[in-house]
Amino acid sequence: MTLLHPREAEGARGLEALDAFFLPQLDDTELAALEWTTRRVGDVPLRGPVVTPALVEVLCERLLRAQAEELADRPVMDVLEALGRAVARWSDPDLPQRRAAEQLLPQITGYASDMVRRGLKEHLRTFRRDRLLRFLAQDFDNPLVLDGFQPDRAGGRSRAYGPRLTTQFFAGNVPGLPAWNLVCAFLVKSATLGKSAGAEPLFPALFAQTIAEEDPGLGRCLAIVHWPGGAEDVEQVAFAHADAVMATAGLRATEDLARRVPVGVPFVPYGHKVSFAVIGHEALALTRYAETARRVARDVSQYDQQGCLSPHAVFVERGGAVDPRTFTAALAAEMDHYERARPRARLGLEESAAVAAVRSRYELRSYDDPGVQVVTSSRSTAWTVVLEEHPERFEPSPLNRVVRVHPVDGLQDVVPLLLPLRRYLQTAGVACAPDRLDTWASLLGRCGVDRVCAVGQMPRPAAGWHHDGRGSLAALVRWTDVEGAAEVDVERYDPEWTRPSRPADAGGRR
Amino acid sequence: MSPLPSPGDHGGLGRSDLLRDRVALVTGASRGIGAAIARALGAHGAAVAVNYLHDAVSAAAVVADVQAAGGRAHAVQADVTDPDAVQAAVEEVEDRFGPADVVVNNALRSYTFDPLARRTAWETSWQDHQRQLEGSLGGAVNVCRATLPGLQARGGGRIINVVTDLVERPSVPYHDYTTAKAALLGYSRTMATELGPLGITVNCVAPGLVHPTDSSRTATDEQRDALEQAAPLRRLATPDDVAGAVLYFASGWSRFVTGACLFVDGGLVMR
Repeated sequence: MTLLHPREAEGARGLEALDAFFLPQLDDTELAALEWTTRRVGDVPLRGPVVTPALVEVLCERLLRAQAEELADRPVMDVLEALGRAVARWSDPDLPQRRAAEQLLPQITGYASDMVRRGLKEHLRTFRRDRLLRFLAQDFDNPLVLDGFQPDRAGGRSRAYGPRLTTQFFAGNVPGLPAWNLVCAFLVKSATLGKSAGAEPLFPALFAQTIAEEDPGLGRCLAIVHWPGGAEDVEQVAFAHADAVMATAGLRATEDLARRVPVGVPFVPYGHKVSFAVIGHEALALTRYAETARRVARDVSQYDQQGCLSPHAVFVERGGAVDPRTFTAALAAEMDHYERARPRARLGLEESAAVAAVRSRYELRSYDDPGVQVVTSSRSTAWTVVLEEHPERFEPSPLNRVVRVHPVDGLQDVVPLLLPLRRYLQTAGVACAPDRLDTWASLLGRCGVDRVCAVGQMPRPAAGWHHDGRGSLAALVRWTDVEGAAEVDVERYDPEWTRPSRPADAGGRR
Repeated sequence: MSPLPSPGDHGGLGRSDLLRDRVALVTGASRGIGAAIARALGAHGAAVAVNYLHDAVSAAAVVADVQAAGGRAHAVQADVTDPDAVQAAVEEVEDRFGPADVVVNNALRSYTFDPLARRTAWETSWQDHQRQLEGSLGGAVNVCRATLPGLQARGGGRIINVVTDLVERPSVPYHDYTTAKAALLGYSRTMATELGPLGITVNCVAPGLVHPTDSSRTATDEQRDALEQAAPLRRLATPDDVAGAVLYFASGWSRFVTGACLFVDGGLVMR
């Protein structure tokens, strides 16, 4: 999943190393005493401290203190307003952090700058003040449970406590993604010790800066550093202090973390998911098919298919005004258009080889099998569209803009292909008539899909989405219930009945 | 299927010695469309004079690109609205490469294409129109007059004027800019009539919104999306798309075409 390819980036050459960390807990003397290291990511030199167990120990202690002072008793709506204001700052094109992100993230990741610019803008919209309310509403009937005990359906009262401190492992494959995790932790009043991703460590630090500028109290509750993944000594200290661990990572890293997170500490893993699109015959009308192809191409191409929201395959229903083969041609043309405007990142050898292998395998098959057709960018691996009539299975794409198109007679043909992957399915982009949406959603949900969205909107989940099938906030909190019977029973101990009469009372009777 | 340019591929326009004996003068060639045209002409064998107004560094970079690809190029500074400066520049080119026989009028008075901050009809003065006319039409007139003796001496040649598809489809009413380009289109047709007997063709290339260029940077994402969606070829023009059309008019393949206007806008305008 890494995108560590050097790219033409004249701007960054000869630059001073940039700070890719956020540590407001340490003063200048303490910072100066740390050991520092500079890594080049893409073409950008990024500076950060060498993270040791001792440093993590200090950070955790201070984060816990900051959480107790700044967050624990702060009303949730107050936190939400502050986050909303911080996010609103990012809608200003001249915000220094946004400018830095727009200039440097393309150099760091290799992604086309136009794609990063528009992608960031669209992503951060998800966290506008009113959308943050949706995050709360999605998981809590009454968000005030985060501030105190509120009546519950069982006849008592309940309160939700977020972790005091969450250790977070951020993703680096999609710029801006860590905003989601940071926001979720704050909304449940958790401080965050964040480990930024090796492939893109800058965005979380920039976003944290804005939060701190808007609200220094919240800023104190954030520390963001990078350490090499799997550094067990460092992570052991972090886990010992954390009340929760949240990670967006690949399968192997997730499994490794799951083994090491102590029992009793909630572990919330995201990532390692597979998405796909299903195109109904209605979306292949003569007035619709070109636009449908455009939307699918955008979903596939955005962030070079690296995000788990990107479709690996497109199932296209037969019986539309154009057949799946024509749709494939239109999709290929749109993939080409997208590539011209927003070229894919340059690949490393291994990734190029993976694309080439898929191409040659299908090209070979296409000689004997009229149901197989390969359409590719010429003289490059920029994009690949494979039409395959009778797939043996739903095969995940090697990514980097490789997509398979499978003609089907209806969604019932798709189900058997989905079931073997049910643990890993995530987003299904759909395009069909309104009266079929419910049936489709039910079938897809049964197969393991946790998000059904419109084709063309796959990379942009709505605020509050049950990310990977669970409540983003609910997964972090623990509940304390005060039973209804207890409320009734404490009436027995009302001081009026239980306190000896005082002299003043006696005086009153006089 | 569709040819995709890979780096070092001259923007997908290839290279050849098709224009081997040609001397091209491209005005406003330090950046954007002009630079792409200069590189393309150079890649197909023409000796290229890279005219610029201010940006000597960028012009030198274009020259270096052409030379690095094995071509010949030279940067010449001149304000195209100044007839004397143009005369001097044309002589400089003649001294170096011989008389120009492919003349590309691409320069214009700097203009910001900002759909949100454009001047409305009631704000656009005659002076605004004059400024654009001086740049687009005046510049072309000056360059044509200065190069005509050379074109005649070489027994023929090509004049290629860069206009805009806004003359047919003013999706955003940039009054002064579009009017000046329409004037250049008219001038091109009368010139085609006048110069045809002398073996000189005069044609126009009319791009749609070209991305990325400095001038188009202020186009909004929304506007770009809308144009992409409206065009049958469903994307914006690139500088190399425009250069491709210029190559056609510079080459022998267009020898019986004059007074034409070729729209390079993905099919937004069909005529």
